[in-house]
Amino acid sequence: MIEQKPEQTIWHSLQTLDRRWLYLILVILVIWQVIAPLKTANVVSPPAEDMYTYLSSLQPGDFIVVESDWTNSTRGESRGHFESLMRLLMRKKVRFVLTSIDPQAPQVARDVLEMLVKEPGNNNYKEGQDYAIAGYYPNAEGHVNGMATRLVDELATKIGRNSAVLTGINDLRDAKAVVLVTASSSINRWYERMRGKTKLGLFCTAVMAAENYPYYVSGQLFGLVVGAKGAYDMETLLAREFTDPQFKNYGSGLRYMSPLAFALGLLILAVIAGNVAMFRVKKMGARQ
Amino acid sequence: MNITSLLAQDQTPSSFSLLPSDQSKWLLIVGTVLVVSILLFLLTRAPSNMRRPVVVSITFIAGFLYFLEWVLPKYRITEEGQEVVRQWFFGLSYDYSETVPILSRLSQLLTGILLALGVFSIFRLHVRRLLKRDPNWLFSLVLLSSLIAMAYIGFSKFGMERSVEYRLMTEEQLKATNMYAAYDLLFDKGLQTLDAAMFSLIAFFILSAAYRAFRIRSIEATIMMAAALLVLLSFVPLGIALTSWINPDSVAGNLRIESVGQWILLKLNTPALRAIDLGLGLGVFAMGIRIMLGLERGVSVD
Repeated sequence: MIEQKPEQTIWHSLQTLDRRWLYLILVILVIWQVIAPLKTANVVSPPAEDMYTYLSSLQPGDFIVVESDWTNSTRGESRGHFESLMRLLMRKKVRFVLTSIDPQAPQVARDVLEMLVKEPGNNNYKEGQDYAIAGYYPNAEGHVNGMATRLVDELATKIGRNSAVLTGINDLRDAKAVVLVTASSSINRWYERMRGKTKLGLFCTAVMAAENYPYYVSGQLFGLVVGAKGAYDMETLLAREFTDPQFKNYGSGLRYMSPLAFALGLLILAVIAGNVAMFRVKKMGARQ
Repeated sequence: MNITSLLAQDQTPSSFSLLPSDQSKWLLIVGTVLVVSILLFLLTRAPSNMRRPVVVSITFIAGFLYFLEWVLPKYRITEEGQEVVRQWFFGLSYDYSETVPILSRLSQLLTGILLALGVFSIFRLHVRRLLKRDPNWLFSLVLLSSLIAMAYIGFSKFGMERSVEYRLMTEEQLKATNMYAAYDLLFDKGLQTLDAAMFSLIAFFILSAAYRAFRIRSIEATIMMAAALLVLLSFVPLGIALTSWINPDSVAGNLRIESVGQWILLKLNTPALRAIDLGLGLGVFAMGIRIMLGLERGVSVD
């Protein structure tokens, strides 16, 4: 007896779609958007706006601590964060010291900084004078505790006690903020150990957003910049404040926002298509 | 200068600048390494029931030092016209807050030693695989050669940056050196690019998994998917554009995608995470006490 094959519809095909087709669509979309990004209107999220407003209110000569814990694995999000943060600090002439608990991160940050200091409007920032790179601290717990208790002692081992960047700084209270650009849970050490000595801000990847929102709502974070959208938010705000055409306000945030938007669009479509196909096939099965 | 400051490069450009004539410092370093090595050797040879009290005591003291920093009272005094905070230490003239940076330096050193131990362990494992010609020995060869090349180039660049010639070079001259070219090739063009490529693969897995597994099979799954899609849409300008025609200042403005996304994150996600964090915090606290008191098995030597 010949067995009759069940009828194959487009919904059946969608359910058993070879994943390589999805990969191909994703690759085409991303390449297209990297080459010719679509610039769309942006609505800045309130937590990113809070970050920008506070940092933008800093005065020339103010000092902040920046902990940069990102590497190229999260470049799509973190590089845009770091670039926009540095552009803002340099234009406001804010002194900063960079620390890190990731061994690769200081070099990655240094490479970006070397590029940014040459941009017009960034006040020709000089290492050792306007900013310092304290580098890698292998033990995060000890490092943050040291920074919170005796900031100068903690930094002196790397950048020297008499560094121009530390002029007038005796304690973490003298810093206007601690800002983290991170793709890891390094912010937790600061929540635990900072003791309210100064303000804390966070630039994090999108997957970390949910776990850090409670700290923003409680006021422990003065601002929260999340994912590629956050980087784009910061660049949008930079463009609003610095209108001189010589200034470069848009960078990685815009470049990576558009491919991400299309990739997420594809993801949403794929989820919807997968579910519709499942329901249609179920319905057809019930009918038969 | 104490030993921790010396090794952490305090007041000296680097430990590499330690002159051969600084005999007392060299003796101090060599002596410390010797004494610690002997102590560690004796500890490894001691029977488990003798080792345990030593390890538990060190763990307890290390934890207690940090604990003291939180509970010892602080007071304000005026020094050289400036108001400073000092920490009381059982009536002695010692300020306890000075302990924290020392502990911090020690912890940096210990973690550095652990890193070196990790590298040594990997090195030993893969050399053995290579010598035995185990299956996939070629990967071990790649790992070892990458490890050695990166370490050699990295340390050479570190040394070069501390030389007098380096300080006299312009940026262009510097970048023209072979050492910089090698470092650029290995770190920036090699490791960093591979790092980014490796992470970008996740996009493909997420897409494939979302397409196959994210199915509405129950009410809970439907709610979760709706919330996830709304938050996703609120993170992309294209999603925001869908409801950008609604006046943000009107009541209907609350229904704009970005407002709904923020509402989900702030009003639904935050309380749920606070509850989880509270439970986690209590768990970590209990675990900390158990480790300090040596009650947690598997942490010390047993």
